[in-house]
Amino acid sequence: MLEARLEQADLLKKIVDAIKDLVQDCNFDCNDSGVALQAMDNSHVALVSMMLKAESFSPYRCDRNVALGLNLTSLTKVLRAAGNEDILTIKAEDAPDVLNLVFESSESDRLSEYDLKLMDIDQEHLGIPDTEYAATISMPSTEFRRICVDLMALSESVSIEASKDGVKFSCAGDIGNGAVTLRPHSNVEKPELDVEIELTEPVSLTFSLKYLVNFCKAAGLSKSVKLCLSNEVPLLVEYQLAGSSYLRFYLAPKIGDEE
Amino acid sequence: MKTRGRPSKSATKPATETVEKDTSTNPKVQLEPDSANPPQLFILPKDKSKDARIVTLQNPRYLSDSRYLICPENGFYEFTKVAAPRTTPRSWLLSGSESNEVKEPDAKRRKHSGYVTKSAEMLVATAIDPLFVVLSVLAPLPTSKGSEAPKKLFLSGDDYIEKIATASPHFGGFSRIKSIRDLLEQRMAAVCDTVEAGDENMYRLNEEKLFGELLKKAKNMCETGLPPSMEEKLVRKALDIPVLSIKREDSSLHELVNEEAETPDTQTCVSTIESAGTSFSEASTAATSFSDDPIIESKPKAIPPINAPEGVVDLLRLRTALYFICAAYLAPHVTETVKKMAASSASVDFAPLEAHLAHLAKLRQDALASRSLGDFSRKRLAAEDIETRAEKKRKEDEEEKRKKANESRGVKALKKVNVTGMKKMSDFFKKK
Repeated sequence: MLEARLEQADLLKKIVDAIKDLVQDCNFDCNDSGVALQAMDNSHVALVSMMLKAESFSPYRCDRNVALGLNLTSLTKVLRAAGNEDILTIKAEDAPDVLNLVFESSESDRLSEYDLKLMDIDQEHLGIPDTEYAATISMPSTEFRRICVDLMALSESVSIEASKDGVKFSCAGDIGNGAVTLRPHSNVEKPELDVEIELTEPVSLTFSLKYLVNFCKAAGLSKSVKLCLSNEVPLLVEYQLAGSSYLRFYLAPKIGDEE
Repeated sequence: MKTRGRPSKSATKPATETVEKDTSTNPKVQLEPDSANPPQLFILPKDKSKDARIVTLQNPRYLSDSRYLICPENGFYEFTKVAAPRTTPRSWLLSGSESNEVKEPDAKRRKHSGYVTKSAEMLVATAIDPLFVVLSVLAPLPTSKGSEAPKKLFLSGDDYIEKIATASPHFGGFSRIKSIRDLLEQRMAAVCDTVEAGDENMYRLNEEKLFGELLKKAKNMCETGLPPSMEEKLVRKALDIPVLSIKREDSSLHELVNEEAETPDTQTCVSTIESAGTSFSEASTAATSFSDDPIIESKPKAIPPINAPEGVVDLLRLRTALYFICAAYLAPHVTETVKKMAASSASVDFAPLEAHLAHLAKLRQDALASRSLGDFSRKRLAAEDIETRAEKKRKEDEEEKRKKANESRGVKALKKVNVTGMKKMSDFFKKK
């Protein structure tokens, strides 16, 4: 039996919103440490990995490991019925056919309850090793989103160059080219606007902007975002959530035929 | 050897050995683990003597070990498994009867104990001709292949019985009982050349005699009537005459006939029988389904007479019966000789049957050929085929559409993204 109560339905709504444009169906793997999710997009060049620790819920109870196979579009439809401030409780049997979702409004005594049919999803899990990245960049999540959206107007891919001086996002397209450079910066009054760059060696990699823009839909979940780069490995875009929960995206770099 | 069995009502020992349960029943309802040696249900002959035993003997067909019941007075019995088909799961509920003798200390408890078997199997002991048991030593497997058949020697009955005992150690105890020995020797005499040597009879297998004996059995089988399934599948179907021309008015009826004729189309009849023969041998070991029989009995259909020349039907029945006996009880190498003898035997002539079957095979081929030249029943079939295919496609399309409907705009958009030069995630991260 799984029972997990989330103080704010908002969190799950935003997570699902951020993933649903990348992945169609996926398993929410629940065990006693929390709810985990790992899924790839159709082309298998991007991967999303989410972990909602048990501490994010109050209370959290999961007697047996269950995989909740969900269509994210369907889940979105149901979650749309929840207010942002609602208390969300998800429940499932040990071998569930449906996922039960209850939304309680904290202000009124409104209680809505939905059952979502589950599906069997054959998913392979990839083991993601802990990697020492050559460059780790922290920046405001809105800033990253803005850069990606702006540059996408020009090109379909962006090259990210991290060096001692800063990080440069540049692109070249049919109508011209553009670049945005960020330097390390700390704002005493608003620490969430800090830009930090940790570097062991300079890195330069090219990525698909469509995918990055897609990742940026998670900007609402966290004020800051962390980009981790190393040559020859996927880019990690990480949004830290409350506690040690996280939402991570991985994207394979474009290698070879640079346009 | 300990067997757990339930003798038929009139058997000598009533329910004492019905259910032996070593697990205790708690007052609370609690499922117990499966018994490693679950009780089995036997139907044993009524008049079996006290010395009758279930023993392991060599199966004459497969030369593997099988269980048989030997009764010194009545001879040999094989076990036939009768079970409900797997599609309709059933069980036996075995309960200790009230008349349990209070021999055992836990008799009180046993009164309430019962056992539900996993499947409704029943092992019925049916008499088997001891000839088959002895045949495996009369006609042993040729030791060296390729060489000429070894010269068969006359051996005394004792020697043969000794050989059975070596092949099936369980038989040892019975080999000393006179009634059993007499029975075996008597059956040996029926199929062997005999020579008297002193006060002993010596035996050597005579294939002619064996064939005669088998033929007698097959004739017997025909006289009592073949089992309905055998009759339907191997006699009626084999002799079906394909319909060549079809009139539109009653096409539905003809189509039925046609379909029937079509099913075994590519095979010739002979091969049909042979393959059926092998399925017989399976049938003798596998569970026999009997659920269909009552239905057939309850509403007998008007069976149209088989349309075949005089005598052919009987011949086919006889051959079916003979092949069945071969497939169920004779070792493959013996079967071969028997079949050879059947083809060249003077006592029964299968030639008219062969001729008729060949004729039918030709008719079938012709029917098939003419059908492929655009006959309308075929067209109808093709149309149906197209219909089902269309149906399938529609379903697939629907499935696809539903899948599409559940695809978010973002996922659709990502499909168009140029991913050249991007490696798959599985190239970076290894599968767990």
